[in-house]
Amino acid sequence: MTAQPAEMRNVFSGDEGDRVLAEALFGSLREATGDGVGITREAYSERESLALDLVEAKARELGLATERDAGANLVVTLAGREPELPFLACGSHLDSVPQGGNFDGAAGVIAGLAIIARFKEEGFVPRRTIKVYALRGEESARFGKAYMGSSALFGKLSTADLSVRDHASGQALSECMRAVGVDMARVERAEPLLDPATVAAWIELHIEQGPVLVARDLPIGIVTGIRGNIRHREVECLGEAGHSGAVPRWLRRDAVFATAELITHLDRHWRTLLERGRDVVITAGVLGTDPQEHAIARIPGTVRFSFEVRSQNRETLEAFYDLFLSECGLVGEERGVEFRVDRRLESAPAVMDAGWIARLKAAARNLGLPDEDIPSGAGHDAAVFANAGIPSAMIFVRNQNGSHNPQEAMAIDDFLAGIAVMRDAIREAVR
Amino acid sequence: MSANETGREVAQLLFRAGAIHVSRQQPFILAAGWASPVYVDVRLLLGDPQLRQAVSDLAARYAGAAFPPGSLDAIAGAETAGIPFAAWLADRLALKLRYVRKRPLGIGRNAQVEGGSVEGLRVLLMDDLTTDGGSKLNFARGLRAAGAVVEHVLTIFYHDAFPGADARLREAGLTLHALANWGDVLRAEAGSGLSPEDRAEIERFLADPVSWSTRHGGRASLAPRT
Ligand SMILES: [Zn+2]
Repeated sequence: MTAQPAEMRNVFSGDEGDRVLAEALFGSLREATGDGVGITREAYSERESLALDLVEAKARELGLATERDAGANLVVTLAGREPELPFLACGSHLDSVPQGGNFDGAAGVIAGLAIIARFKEEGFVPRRTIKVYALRGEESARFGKAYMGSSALFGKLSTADLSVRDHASGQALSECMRAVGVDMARVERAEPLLDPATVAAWIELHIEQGPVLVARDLPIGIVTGIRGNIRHREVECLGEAGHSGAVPRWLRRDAVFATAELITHLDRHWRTLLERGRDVVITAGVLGTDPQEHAIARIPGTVRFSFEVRSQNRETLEAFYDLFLSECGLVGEERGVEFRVDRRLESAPAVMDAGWIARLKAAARNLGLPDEDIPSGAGHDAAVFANAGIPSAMIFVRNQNGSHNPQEAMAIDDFLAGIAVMRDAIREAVR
Repeated sequence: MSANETGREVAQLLFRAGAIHVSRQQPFILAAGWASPVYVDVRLLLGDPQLRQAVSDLAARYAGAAFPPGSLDAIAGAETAGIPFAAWLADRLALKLRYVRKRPLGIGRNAQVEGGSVEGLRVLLMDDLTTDGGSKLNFARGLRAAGAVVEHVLTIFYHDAFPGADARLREAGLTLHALANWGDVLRAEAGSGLSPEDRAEIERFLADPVSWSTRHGGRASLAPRT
């Protein structure tokens, strides 16, 4: 044991309560939603509901008021002295990818809960009401679209979004939302469930999902902006199947070779854009020939793959997407195949609020912590709140081994540091 | 003409071509993953007849001084931007010209080399830019596999911020010759295109490129990717 954790405990005096709360809640979530390998609480599933129930029970135990909003999210409230003022919202999501990690999302919900629990314990009554949200449906793994829970709050789910079906069960998003208690009549009318004018700010703590804080040896970072993305769940490359020995090269319409060439070209464009100082990442995370018909000796006639481009810059996103479409056309022409894309899904990039960034940095400095900037490569609900016009901010907590896998590893002391910064910044804002 | 003087002149040509880009916000991410506040597009020297003649003259003068007459048989340009520079240099020195591909195409000893056999030839490898030296090793391997004797690499610009390229090439029996590097760019007189802020940022970067890269989201260590 090094001396560091003890020193940190001294810095964040009184954080023993945070530690106990965090360990208890992470523990019960892991127990209830562990799947033997990692954590599974998929968007709008029973296991997600179970996670909300667990957090709600803990909040009640702490004497806090709880409710479910029209989006079936859990809301824990600490009433302010002037409840007519726009409230301050914080929290994150409780769903996970299949076999994901326990901290992705849950850390932000527990941080919010720890902050208002301490305020209540101290008898500190904030000027504005503070609401902690445990949101549903942030992860795109199940329905291809991210931030469904927060998007529903602002009337941003389209009919097409709602009719997407989960590959495993065949159920539509709308059915799954209804099953957990979402007011679907309002969601289907694209009616906002939450008026952005009633929300003063959205503050979200989240584990960092990239390797930057670990590489820079920083316990926390203050987020400056969030990458947006454009996606297709499925792009289909249609060529022509044939006998692998009998068809000469010039007559082939091989879907695998065409797709491989497309991806190679996209990689070259990517490298060039990076060299020119553009922010962009691209991924084809799902890719394959049809197991029903593929064979070693068969020229593949069809390949299906996913496409995703992310950037902090809207213009770069669109420009890369145009490149993708034009490369599909060129490769298609040269190789006699056709690329067909399904519905384009997108999330806009978001800029975090300068005032809140400054407030969080000041809080970090006062606690003797580094206050460095970090851009967010992954998407978060905070982007939806920001794009609804609500001043938004995020704190990232260092996390080993990335996320969306069971190996994510956040040190509890780093988490306590993040909570301390967020608590001081919020206290300052709602005094 | 001293190497220093060549460097200063080449740096001037790069400024005139608008080839030196500085960004103090969004970093440039170089091929090896390093984040850098500067990006040099040497290919801009190709377009303008005056600039390309000037840089080719400087390259010929450098080569004339560095390699005794009769010590080279051929210049090999590296695909893609190394090829035109190699062609102009081969013309000026009246040497054979070849070019070498990034990857072998097809099969056979000569699969990475075009323009004829290099068996037994003493070849100077020419490219526009060197960063970590990785691609130069690959080109030299291709030439050697085809039977060439390769001991020298000539590059127009050497992005010498990240340590290691020199040593890596030396280990492979290659000597790196650069017409210009960052020192030459910073020595170029004021008013040549660098604002004081840009100059300061480049100096901060050069003082500790690895930590500059780390701070700006680029690669964080010299160790190879694990
Ligand atoms: Zn998350």
